[in-house]
Amino acid sequence: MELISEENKIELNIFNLLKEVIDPELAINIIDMGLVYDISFTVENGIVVNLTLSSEGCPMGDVILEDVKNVIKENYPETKQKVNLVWEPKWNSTFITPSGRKTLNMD
Amino acid sequence: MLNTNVNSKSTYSIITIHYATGAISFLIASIMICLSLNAFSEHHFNPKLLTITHIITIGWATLIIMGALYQLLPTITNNKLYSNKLAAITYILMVTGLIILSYSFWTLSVEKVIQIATSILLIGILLFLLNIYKTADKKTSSTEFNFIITAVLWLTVTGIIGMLMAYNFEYNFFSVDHLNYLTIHAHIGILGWFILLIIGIASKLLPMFLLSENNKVELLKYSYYLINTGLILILVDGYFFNETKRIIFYILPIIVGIGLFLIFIKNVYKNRVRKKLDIPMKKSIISFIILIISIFLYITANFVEDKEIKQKIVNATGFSFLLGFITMLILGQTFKTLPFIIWLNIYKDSKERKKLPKDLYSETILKFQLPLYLMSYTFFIAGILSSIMFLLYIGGALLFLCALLYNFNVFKIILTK
Repeated sequence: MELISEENKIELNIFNLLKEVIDPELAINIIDMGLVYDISFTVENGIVVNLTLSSEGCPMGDVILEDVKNVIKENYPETKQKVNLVWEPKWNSTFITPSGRKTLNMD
Repeated sequence: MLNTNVNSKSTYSIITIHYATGAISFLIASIMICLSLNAFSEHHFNPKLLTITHIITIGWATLIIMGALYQLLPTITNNKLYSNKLAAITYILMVTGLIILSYSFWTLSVEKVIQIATSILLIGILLFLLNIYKTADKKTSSTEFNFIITAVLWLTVTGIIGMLMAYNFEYNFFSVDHLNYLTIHAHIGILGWFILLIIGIASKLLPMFLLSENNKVELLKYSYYLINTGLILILVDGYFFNETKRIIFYILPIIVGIGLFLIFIKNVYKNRVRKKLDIPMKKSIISFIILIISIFLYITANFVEDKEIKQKIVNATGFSFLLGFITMLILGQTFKTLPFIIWLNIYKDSKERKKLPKDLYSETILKFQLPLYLMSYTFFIAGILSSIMFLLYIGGALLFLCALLYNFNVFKIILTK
């Protein structure tokens, strides 16, 4: 019996792929930074990623969004994709992963 | 939607040319300072100091700030810059006006030439105001934007008073001493244009770069009203009632306003997620300490009776504000803004990014420059206050070296391929 569905596998793969997307100012990937809120895949809607930025109007915001779209497109060229920029909940430092905290010298 | 303004080629070129011209102006000013060290022991209304002051305020600080604003404004307003052409014309007018103004001060051509220079500069400022105003829309009402647009309005007032002074040399229509208007011009230029603008920009950038949370933004609202109240009182009493002796009272709300901003910065610093500061951020934080020293010098100058000592402290105050606080802030923030514009231009559409923005400049030079600049500032302040020329010579040499290093790094970034 499969413990993990095909959809979940794709979601997990995208999660790992998004570790390649780096915030150019902080030199930390967006997963460790806690910017990615949700990744979902369904046959009907395709891949949907909800992500945020550490502050509104971040000049690097559109670079990050473009990079996310490119990474998904490169790996799943035939699949529909949507990347949403969301502001709720507001990002805060508790979203940073332990590995991210290390990168940012927080501890 | 996020803006993509900076990615437009023409905006990129306009921003870059502002930084390049600013850097060259800083270098020219440092050379002129080295050649005019004696002027620091004279009254500030002398040809050499007037020339140097305007190269620093317009060529160095204002041009860099204008370039930074063209980059930052879209992130604050979420709109593209209203007009790149207008920005280009503004740049040409500001540089032309500055060159003619510097020539007229240096050679004491204080009739038609200075009138032409100040008129060109004022047209440039008015076009800049129009560009900033038009970039915003009805939805734009952030605290940062209020500071910025009000600062540009005060820059316009500064330009108008400057132009009136220039015409007064020939037509002599002022009813009181020329120095009365110079005092208003300088106060409004430094406190209205630079301080308000720096508060507007810093309150957006510093929390963003330091990843700071739970900041006391409400302090900035009080700061805005207090500083503007003081500035209006300085202008009304000084210009319409010809009285500048009461300025010290009007300075009080301004100092409280700046104090609230500094509390905001302290809070941003305390609540930062990024504990380790990089060199540009270290410079920015140090600049605020120099701001406190500058305010202290300003207050001291107002309570000193002896004219000679008072003049020395006034000169030290001007130096501390312009070449201490504002310069140190620019020396830091240049490397948090310029590399990103260039990086975006080179790597935005590239899938192979070999470098990050911070890799575009030499960090070693930046590190080396910080103690060098602090020493230069210290030698200068000590030299101005003590009238010991030897201290000024060392300060001047160090300043020139810093300007050279700054130029090296700025052009290293700009010329990245």
